[in-house]
Amino acid sequence: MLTSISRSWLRRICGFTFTCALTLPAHGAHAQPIQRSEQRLIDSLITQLEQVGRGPMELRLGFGPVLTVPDSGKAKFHAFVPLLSFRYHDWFVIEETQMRADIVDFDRKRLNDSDTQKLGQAGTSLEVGAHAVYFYGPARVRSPPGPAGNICSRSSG
Amino acid sequence: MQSFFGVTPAESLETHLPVFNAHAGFKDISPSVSAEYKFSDHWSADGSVQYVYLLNDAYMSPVSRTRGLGGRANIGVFALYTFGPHA
Repeated sequence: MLTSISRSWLRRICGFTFTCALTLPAHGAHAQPIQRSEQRLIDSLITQLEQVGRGPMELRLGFGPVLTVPDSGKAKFHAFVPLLSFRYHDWFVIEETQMRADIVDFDRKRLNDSDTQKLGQAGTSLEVGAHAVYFYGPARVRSPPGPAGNICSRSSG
Repeated sequence: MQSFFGVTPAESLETHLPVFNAHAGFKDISPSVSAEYKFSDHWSADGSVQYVYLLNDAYMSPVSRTRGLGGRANIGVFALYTFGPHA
């Protein structure tokens, strides 16, 4: 997401700069140094653009406690929840898969209710969704604006 | 969706839950806010608050309703280690 935002902003800056470069020669004696400066800026921005999306493969592993508070019923404390995120070149990202799998109670065998326990374990599913990320210095704030979809395959219960 | 939230006739006989056919679709909406602080190139801490609200057949399913899983908040704190040469 950051990649696409960066590209979008850089494209806008490049577009604006390109327009200035076209109009500057009409201003006479100052045109040459400003033009060189503009060219350096464009070159720098293009270099930045080329760098975006060339990030290395990154694997992140983590763990921590999670408290689940349902709208109705008792809160549940998970002392150890694994967290996994994987990124490859800014265009393939997996985040929080373990957190969601554990907390959302997809594994129906782990439900406390005796009736739902009899339903057994569910199969594999694929979830798709979207989120926006804002970086502020060393901190990051993430807020997914859209709903998450769910595509499941039927398996034996 | 049926895998997680559906109840087949056979399962209904065993569990006494009503038969329920869950169709594919949006399962939940889960807004969340998290903040991450990097202690070093590799180590960081992440705090996260997430609210999960089931939608459509996921919400209507007897599996969800029996457990009161319509909506819930998850609050977590994580220690993270980043692998990679340019972490």
